[in-house]
Amino acid sequence: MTIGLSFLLGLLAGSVSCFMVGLWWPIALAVGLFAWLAFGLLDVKMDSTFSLLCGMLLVFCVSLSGMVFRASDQLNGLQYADTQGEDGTEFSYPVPPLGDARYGEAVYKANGCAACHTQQVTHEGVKLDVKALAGEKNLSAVQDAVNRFHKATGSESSGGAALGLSAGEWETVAPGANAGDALKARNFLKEAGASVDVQVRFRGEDLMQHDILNPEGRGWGRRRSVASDYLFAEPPMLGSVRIGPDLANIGARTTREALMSLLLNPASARAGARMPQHRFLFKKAGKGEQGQHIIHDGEQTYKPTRDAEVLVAYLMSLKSANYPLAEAPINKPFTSSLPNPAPAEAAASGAGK
Amino acid sequence: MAANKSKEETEKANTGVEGPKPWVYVLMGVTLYWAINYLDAHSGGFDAKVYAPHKNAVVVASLKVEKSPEEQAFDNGARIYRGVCAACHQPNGMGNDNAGFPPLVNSEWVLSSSPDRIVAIISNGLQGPVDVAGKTYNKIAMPAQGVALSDEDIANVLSYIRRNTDWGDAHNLPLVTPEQVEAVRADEAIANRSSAWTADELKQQFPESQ
Amino acid sequence: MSNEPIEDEAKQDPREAVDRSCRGPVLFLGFSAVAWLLVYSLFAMLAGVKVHAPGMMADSAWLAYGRIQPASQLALQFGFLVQLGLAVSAWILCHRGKTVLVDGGYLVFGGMLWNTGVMFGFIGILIGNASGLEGLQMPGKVLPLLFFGFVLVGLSLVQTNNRRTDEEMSPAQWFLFAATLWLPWVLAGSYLLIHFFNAKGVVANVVDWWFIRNFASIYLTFVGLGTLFHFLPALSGCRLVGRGYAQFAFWVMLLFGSIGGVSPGAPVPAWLPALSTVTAVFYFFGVVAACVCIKQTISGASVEDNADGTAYDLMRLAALIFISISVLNVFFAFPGPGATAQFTTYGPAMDLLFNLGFVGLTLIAALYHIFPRLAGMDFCPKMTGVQTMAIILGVFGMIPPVAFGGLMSGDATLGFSYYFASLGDLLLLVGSAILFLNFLGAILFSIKNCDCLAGICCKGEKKETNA
Repeated sequence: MTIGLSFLLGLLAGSVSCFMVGLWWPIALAVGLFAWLAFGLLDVKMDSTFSLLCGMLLVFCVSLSGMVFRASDQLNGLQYADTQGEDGTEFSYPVPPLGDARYGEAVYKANGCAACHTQQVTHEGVKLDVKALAGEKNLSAVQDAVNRFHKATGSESSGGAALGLSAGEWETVAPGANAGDALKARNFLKEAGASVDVQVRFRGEDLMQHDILNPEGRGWGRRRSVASDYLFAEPPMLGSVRIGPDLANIGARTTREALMSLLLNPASARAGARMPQHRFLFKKAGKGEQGQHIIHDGEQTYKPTRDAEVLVAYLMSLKSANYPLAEAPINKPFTSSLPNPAPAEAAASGAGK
Repeated sequence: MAANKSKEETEKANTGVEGPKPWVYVLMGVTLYWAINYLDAHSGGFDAKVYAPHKNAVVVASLKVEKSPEEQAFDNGARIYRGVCAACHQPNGMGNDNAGFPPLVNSEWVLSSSPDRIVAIISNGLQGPVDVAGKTYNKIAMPAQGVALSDEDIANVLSYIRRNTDWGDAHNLPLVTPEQVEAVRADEAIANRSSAWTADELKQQFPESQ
Repeated sequence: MSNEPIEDEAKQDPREAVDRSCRGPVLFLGFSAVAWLLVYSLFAMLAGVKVHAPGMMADSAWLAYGRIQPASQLALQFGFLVQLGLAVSAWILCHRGKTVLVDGGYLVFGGMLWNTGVMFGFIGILIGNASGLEGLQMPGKVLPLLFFGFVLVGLSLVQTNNRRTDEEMSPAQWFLFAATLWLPWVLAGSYLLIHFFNAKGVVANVVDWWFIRNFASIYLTFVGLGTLFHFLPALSGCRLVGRGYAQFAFWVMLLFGSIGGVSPGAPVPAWLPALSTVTAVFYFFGVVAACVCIKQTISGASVEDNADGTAYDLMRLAALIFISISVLNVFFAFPGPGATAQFTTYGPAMDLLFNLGFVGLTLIAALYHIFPRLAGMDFCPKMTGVQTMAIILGVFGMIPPVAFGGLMSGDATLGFSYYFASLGDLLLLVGSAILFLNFLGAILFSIKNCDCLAGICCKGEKKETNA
């Protein structure tokens, strides 16, 4: 095939992928380039270093812009996000590391803790739980909507909802649904006028799910890690091997004393730990010396150096993957803000003392 | 020269400059189709806020609690209470005996079957001695809040204080609707009044059982 | 320019001149590379020991596991692989182009700059100035030094290639030319984006993953493939068959190998891992095409000169390893299997298999061929045998058990595999020590007998055997 015809085919492929399929334009450009090359490759003069150079430059620009610049555009401008603590207080997330924790990050980086520890919580899938609240007036309509949903998806009622909805109480209508079914349930229920709650349940061994649905949960976080978690990390030391446990949320799982003992002599602090001892982070203390974090290790007494203190401060400040964000919501036990039971009973029994 | 050239060309043709057969390109085309579908399903529309496994931003945005209007009214009332009322009546509704702020918890004024009296109190304020739960409060008057709060706000905050079971089992009364509040405030007695109520005036204006 | 593929006898440089011009620079780079390999093996051994005996050397900050492990990786990739790749590239470009090495002094000076950079990077990591990013652990300030060192070497290589006798370039030359230009671009891009323009948050990680992908899938792979495309036909006396396959492989691998490298669980938006999966699949097309070309070229052939037997076998083994790794990579690029393998020791094992089992083995095999012709004397055959076996056993004794153990034990524990890892480390240390001693000994010996270096002929007749 001639170069001209193959160029036209490449142009067609690029246009189709950009405008009809909706790919982002450098990707569409790559598709067009690929199509051109695929059809016209054998005619390309590979003997000229100039043509090689031009082709390589084009590919380099596609790669840089398609992957790196696009990611940079999206992620360089991340700002604080609003989230809630477990008690409902709202705050801006993430919390920048303060005080010693700032210096501790440098110690973590210098000692290459990322060689064995990751700082990213992952998950293996998502299930959605749909809960509904019906009032007295629309109880039958909502029950009808639930039945229609189950018929449409071929699923069955389970749990409390199988016994029928009661007014004023939240019931799980569709536990463990996938995204499509959850959307369907939500639409049916909203039509019937019920309050709807769709909760995301991240599944996976990393996560803290204290229910029988995920008994193997390791408790390393409550949701997957996202880019906003690393807003203040310079750079995020994500790690790529887990010879030791994940540290993204270590601050919520351990104490300063435990970390100090672990750094000094991991094998004595945790049975079977293969972590090397980090005695260089400690200095020998006098026999009778008292104070915080004096550790007796066999016959020798140790005191942490400044490096150990800031490192532990940094580790204690690592409380990520704990708070819900728009891109990674958290499943929490749902409490309705509207107290139960139905007011009709209270009015009938008479208010007041 | 020309003879050499054609001889070399035939030689070249035989010595393997062949590339992949056309079916390879077809296979790559099929793979391209697969790739586009894969990206459609897994790339989240190249959106910055969509993380695996969500399909697109719409799905992510839909994963939130949809509260019924009653729940929203209750939440709004709680918010207004925290911002406006809690300064004096305290977040726990107990008031402050020393300063003269009466409690709302188990207060017969709050828990009366009709909310008219407390609508009036909020609209125009309260002055003079008032008996709440067996004690008399006369140290300080309550300023009028009616200018700052709309009918809906008043309805919401009243719903909150009358329905907040954290304060006691008796606080389990039906929600107050904005229509109720509007009806009460439209009453000439309230609409044209510019001074704060006293407890006796209220009992006179709105006589009903406690 | 002549459009006749027949060699123009008047234009090409005489073989002796070519070898003489190559000798100093190539042997210098080769020696530095082998020295860095020894450093890598030593520190990898130390790191492995720390996992067995956590209390050893625990009082020294410089020898903390988290410092010697990244430092050893730096020594392997930047100190050994890149430098040996440059040495072999220089030799291949000269011989393919039938030209003397142009500006060999640039090669030496650039090599010195590169070595200085790697050394500063190595020491910088040990004293605690690591950057925290995986593929670019050296302190940021070292990168410009590496960049300029490589550019100088590249200048020499590009000029050498331009001076080639035949206008037509063989696949080996395409791949090596592309590799020589690609690494500086990628290094400069990474340095500017991360250190100069201060990428915020995970953007630094994305640039890092982009660098790792380009470094492994483009730079190292192209160096390895270029070497294979030159030596396999040359050592077996066959002509390269399937030039079109090589051309297809070149562009497909270049386009799709330069994008991707993001693991499935990474804390970045979903499109990055999805794109990585897609490009991994397309990259595989290129890999298969390259291997088809190699297979067609040498199928049924055997090595011409028995002295090159080891080199030829090692290169075929390296090609096999390459295609195996590529199949595994495609499989584990999908989110399902990828989630099983991520964060386990499978990843480091595969990286090591690629680095040592494919690129390292190819380049060492090339060194076996090049060294006698340049130094005028052979390695000691017995020692060569031992070192080859040690390296191969080290690679195979360590990597499959570690990879398999990683997959089986899941991503939270380090299973039995670390026993194999240490055994393999020990064997690799032995192998690389012997290689280093071989190299050093041969060079010292040949320096003492300067007149042996003149008049090297292609069959390397002047071989010395060690008693």
